Amino acid sequence: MLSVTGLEKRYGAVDAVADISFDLEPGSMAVLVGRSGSGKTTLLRCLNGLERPDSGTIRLEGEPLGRTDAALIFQEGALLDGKSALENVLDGGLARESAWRELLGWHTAAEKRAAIERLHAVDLAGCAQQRVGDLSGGERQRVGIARALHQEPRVLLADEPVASLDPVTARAVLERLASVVRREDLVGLVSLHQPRLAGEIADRYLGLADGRLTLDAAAADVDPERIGEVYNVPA
Amino acid sequence: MSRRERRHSEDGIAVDDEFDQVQARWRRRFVVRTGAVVALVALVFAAARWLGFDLAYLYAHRGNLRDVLLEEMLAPGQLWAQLQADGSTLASATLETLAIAGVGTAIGLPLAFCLGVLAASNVTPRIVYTPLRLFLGGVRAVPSMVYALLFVILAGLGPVAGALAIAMGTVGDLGRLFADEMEEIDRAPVDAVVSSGAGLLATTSAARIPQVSTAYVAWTLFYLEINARKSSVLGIVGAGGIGYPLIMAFRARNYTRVMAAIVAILVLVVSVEFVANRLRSLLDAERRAARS
Repeated sequence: MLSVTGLEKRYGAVDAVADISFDLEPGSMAVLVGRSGSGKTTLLRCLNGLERPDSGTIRLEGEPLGRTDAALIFQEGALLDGKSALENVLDGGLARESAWRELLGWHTAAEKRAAIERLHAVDLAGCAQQRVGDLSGGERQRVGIARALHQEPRVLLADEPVASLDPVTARAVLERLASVVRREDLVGLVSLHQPRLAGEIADRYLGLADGRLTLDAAAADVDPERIGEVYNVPA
Repeated sequence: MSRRERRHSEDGIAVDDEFDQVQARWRRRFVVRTGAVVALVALVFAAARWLGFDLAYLYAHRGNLRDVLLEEMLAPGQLWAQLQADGSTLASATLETLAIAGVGTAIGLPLAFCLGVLAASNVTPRIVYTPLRLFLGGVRAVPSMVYALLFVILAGLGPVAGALAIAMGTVGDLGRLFADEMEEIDRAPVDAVVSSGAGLLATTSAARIPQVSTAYVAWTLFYLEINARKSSVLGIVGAGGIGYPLIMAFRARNYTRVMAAIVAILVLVVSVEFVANRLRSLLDAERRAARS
């Protein structure tokens, strides 16, 4: 179980997130909702270790969350266009490989095979050697998922991963993300602005407003009106 | 699902097959890259041999350099006395060098800016940018020393020839850097301004220049540093500055005086670099303040 207790992060005098506490179960997908600037990205970056919280604890199965335990999928993929899909996925495993191997591009056969398996797991069979810059938006985002999976995380985070995709592609990407989380028994947390898509994959909802947690409930107990309250608009 | 995505799932390529393909390709890539590195190293060794590089000879004659360095150039008492004796000459030559660099950069900068912007393939049509690129390449191909010799014919011995030589180098190098920087800009803001009906000049000033202005200033300051270094040796061919006392000291085999000139060059270059770094920091601070 991922347990977050009393998490706070300030930028100068501004509380980006404050007094955040929640628990998430492995094998379940939680959707993080909230208006732009509500602190979703800050929360995800704190969980990923890209930002150091000012206070609070983040524990996984009772132990402090390790640097490589949580993988983050970024909004635009954050991929290197000049590299192949395989090379981008291999970047996810850099913490396991020695620096000189990465420097020379000499990845082990086992790492390469595992990276190809990740690409197959996200329906990108046959794409390993294609330049990422030549792939479609949906394919790129799935390369991002494969890279995150290659990190071998126990927590999978995604920051508005389908914001720039059309509805059909967005649904396909999110379904793939949710199925990976459930199949590999990961803790999944994804921030989304599309309530309908969120409703299709969410096991749990977390809602942020002005950096504070205003919603923490099982998906079955949350109706559109409740989500509307997080956005401060009527459903 | 896109056509390409459907094709992948229909292909249904197995992990083992794709792994074999990857391994084969990476092996080929390894062989090609290793071959290229080996060939390059062999070429460098062959070129060094052709030039007459002989490590044994250099090692055998290391005493000559050591004697000059320790007994003449780096002897503190002698050097201090020389600096005091040549102080006023070196100071005026150093100021002249700085002026050559400053005036040369100032003359070259507007030309480099205009030619650099026009030589960018995302600003002008091929018929304009191709000849301009070739022109900038041609200007860049000629070393500053050669320009200095040419401008001595025009302006006579002295710092004017040096400043003109520096200006030519600035046009060639900075023009090319400006063009490359311009080609890297984000197209979307340009399209937004073009879609409003703006012409080439208005689009360039409103959407292109703002994207490169910081980089252009940084490159200009960097080039001012480079020009200060270049100016310090132009005197060797009679184009003014501290290069003249330097070459005269070498000809007289007065290595303490050579070292005194080198100290002056060091002070000049480090000072220009310090000022340029401070200006860059101020610009960064202003940019950060504007963003917040």
